[in-house]
Amino acid sequence: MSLRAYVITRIFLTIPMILILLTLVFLVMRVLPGNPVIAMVGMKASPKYIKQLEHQLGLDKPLWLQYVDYLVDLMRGDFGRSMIWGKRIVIQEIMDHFPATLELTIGGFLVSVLLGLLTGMIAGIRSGGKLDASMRIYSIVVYSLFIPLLGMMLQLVFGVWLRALPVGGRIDPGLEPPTVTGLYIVDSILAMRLDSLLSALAHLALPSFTLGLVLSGIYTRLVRSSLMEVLGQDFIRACRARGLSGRIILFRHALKNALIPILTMMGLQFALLLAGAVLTETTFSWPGMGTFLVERITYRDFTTIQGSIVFYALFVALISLVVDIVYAYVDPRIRY
Amino acid sequence: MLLEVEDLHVHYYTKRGVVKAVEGVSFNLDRSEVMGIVGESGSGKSTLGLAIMNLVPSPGKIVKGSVKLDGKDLTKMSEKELKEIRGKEIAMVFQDPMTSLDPLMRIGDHIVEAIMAHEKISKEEAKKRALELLDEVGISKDRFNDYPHQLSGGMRQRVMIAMAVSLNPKLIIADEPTTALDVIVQDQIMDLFSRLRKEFGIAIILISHDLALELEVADKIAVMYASWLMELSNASDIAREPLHPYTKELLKAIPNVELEDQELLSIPGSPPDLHEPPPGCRFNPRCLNKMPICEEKEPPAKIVSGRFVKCWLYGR
Amino acid sequence: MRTFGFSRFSCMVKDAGLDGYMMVFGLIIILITLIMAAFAEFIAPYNPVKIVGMPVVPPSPKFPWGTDTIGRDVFSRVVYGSRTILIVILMSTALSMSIGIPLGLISGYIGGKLDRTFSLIMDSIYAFPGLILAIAVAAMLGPGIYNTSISLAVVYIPTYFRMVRGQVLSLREQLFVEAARALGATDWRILRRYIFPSVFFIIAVVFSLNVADAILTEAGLSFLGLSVPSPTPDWGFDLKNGQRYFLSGKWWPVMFPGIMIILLALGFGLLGEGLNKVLGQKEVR
Repeated sequence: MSLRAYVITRIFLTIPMILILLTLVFLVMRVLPGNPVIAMVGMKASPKYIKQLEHQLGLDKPLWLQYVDYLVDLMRGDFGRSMIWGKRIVIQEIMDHFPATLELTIGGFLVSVLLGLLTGMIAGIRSGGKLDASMRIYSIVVYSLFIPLLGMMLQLVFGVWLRALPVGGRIDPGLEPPTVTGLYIVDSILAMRLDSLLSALAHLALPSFTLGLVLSGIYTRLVRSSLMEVLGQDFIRACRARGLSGRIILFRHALKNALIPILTMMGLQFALLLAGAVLTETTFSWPGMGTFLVERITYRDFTTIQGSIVFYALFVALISLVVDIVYAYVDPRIRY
Repeated sequence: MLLEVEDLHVHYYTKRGVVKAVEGVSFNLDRSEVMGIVGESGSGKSTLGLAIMNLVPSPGKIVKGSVKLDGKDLTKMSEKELKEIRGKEIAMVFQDPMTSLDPLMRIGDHIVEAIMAHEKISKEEAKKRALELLDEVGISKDRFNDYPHQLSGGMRQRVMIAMAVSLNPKLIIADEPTTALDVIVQDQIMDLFSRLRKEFGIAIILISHDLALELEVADKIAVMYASWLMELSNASDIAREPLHPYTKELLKAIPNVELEDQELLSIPGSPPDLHEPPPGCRFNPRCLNKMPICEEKEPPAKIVSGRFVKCWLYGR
Repeated sequence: MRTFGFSRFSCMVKDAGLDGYMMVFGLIIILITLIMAAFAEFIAPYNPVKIVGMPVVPPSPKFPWGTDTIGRDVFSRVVYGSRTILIVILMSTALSMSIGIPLGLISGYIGGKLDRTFSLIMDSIYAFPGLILAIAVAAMLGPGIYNTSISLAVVYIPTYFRMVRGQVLSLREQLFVEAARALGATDWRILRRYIFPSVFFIIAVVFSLNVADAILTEAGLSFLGLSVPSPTPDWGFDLKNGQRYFLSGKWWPVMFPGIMIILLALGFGLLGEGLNKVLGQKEVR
């Protein structure tokens, strides 16, 4: 199968996944007990007002018709309007907050991969030894670190005691670069603003380290077991018999082969990062999707909640698609 | 002498105890000589092959003996010195060509990498040499950029051989190089070996379970059983008059091509568990010439008319 | 059960080396938390929802872990908080197991279209960020112990489903099932006699690791204010409450519940890891 055929098939396979996730969101939002309108306006509101709101949201229609409306609206890119905050357009509000989450998630991703690779490699090379055992304990312990507590402790140490890093927000006020992508780091580089870049990086440091450290433990295990398996394979012995140096064998042959199965897991890893990002954002007052969603939940802004969850679902599906395509591109056994 | 192996012992330290995989094996090999090592799986022949390169995988260890290449003892060398020997002086071809190449590396780059690991030449020159080598082993040059999975088993084994001869080694150790291949490809690969030996004067150690194959190509043959070297002599002598009862059984088990419908003979019984080898001679439970002493004492190593044999039949 | 005495157990632990000790350490943490929850009335010196002192009093003999932002005893709240989290975890796990395991068994055993449909649905849920799914459900259901349990249960159904299904698929191919079928055993009998016992071992491991994860998710929900309603002691929520005092050096309202969350999650994580090796070893023998 050619790479193009593979990519096209994979795109088609994403459609059922998206449909299932959208249906799931619909079920959670409309079928679960609990009337969103009453949840929003409270039990004491007049029945007439409740009826009016229900009609406005289409909640008085039969369920299947609501479902069709929901899908059709989404297909047109219509996420609805906020039920409070002067009927703001939901997708626009999401787009205002999403870059912050993306920036944090990428930061956390890089930290977790870096730490995970390092610890996993140490464990994999020294498998069975004391270092291996310590790395195993590392992977279990960091995964149990509760993100808010870890975040606050880092804030205390680096923000308050050492006064080295800011403890909240995305950038110092006034230094925001002109918006192009919404990612401050990219935008500051595009605008050639060094002060903005440094400020954005400093603000990103603690949140992304918090998120990355907690999730690095998973990579430690994945890298360890994958590397151990590859190191036991025939071609590694063949490399040694050819007199290649240990460094070349490890970096050019073993690691590359060990990382391919890990690549296939990256989609699921990204979902974990997004979940962790919600807690990280709340801890560090990071103005991303997570803080946005939680804030709107307290206001019972039903349409915005639904829109955000749908957006998360679409993003997860997109990531898993991208991961699979990258995988196909990297592994020659699929490419050719 | 190119290679002198003396009283080599290799032990594996497993959880169930010590497995003595090679015990007291000695032999010599001259330049451009072909030696066959024959034995059943688990006889220690593959371990012996790896031990010659000092490449026994953990938990295995060379505990005694020496392997001298041009007089230098490989068992006493550091990893760094060994790196210079491996691939350059001694090259190895493994059994399964399907798994012996890095699946993520183009076959041409494999050869380039092998050359550049030992010689200080530019990448272009190495590539030129790699292309010549591919041609030499009968693979068309436009396959240079193929990945291993795009090649058949026979072609991959040719790539392995191209890599093995790329640095003009003095010795190639081939561990069951054709076992995973079909018969026609097997013949082609063996022809390739004999041609390389003639052209470059490379000595070859051919490890195989197939005595018939060894008899065709080898100058001399070592027979291994349960980590012991049982017999060692010229291939013609072994074909004409095998000394050890085990060798006799192996010869009988070779199917005769001229006689059709002949039932395939195999030696009754199975090789011993090396965690608990039988007392006395290790072959005694399966031996047709068993004597009382065979169950009691290890047989001595004897030289019988210039030929090595380890058996009580030839006296004390 | 006579053969499984303490000496046999300690032997198994020693054989497993590091994993054995990890398992024992995990068990101790879990046991301490269980005791806390069971005897909260006897252990806690104060009523956890009553204001008993000045706000944010540092640890002292009177308040061993200090008081929280409105003057409730932190130690008492932590002790009672163990009850909240354990009940939620217990109910949610029971719920996701009782849905995930039977579905996995059926799906894996019957196979075909049904299996493909189930797997596609479960895989899609599995791919969705767990905490965000729980947030969505919790947001719709509103706060409360039962509602939080349901939110968590939804997240972990696919984990049990996938694990059981995978196990059934591999076992189904194995000879003993084929042999049993040849002898005319009914499908139900095969499931019960042969497949369920083999699946049991792996359920124990996945259960522990899963509970470790669920604890962090519950604490997360609670930190975001989406778990039980306000006066009920709950570790994640208490931690959130203390946050605004934390950076001015008043660490006790945050640290104690926070450390308990970490320890309990770690306890189940270590137990799962250890069980995996210790039970796995037994299987090999």
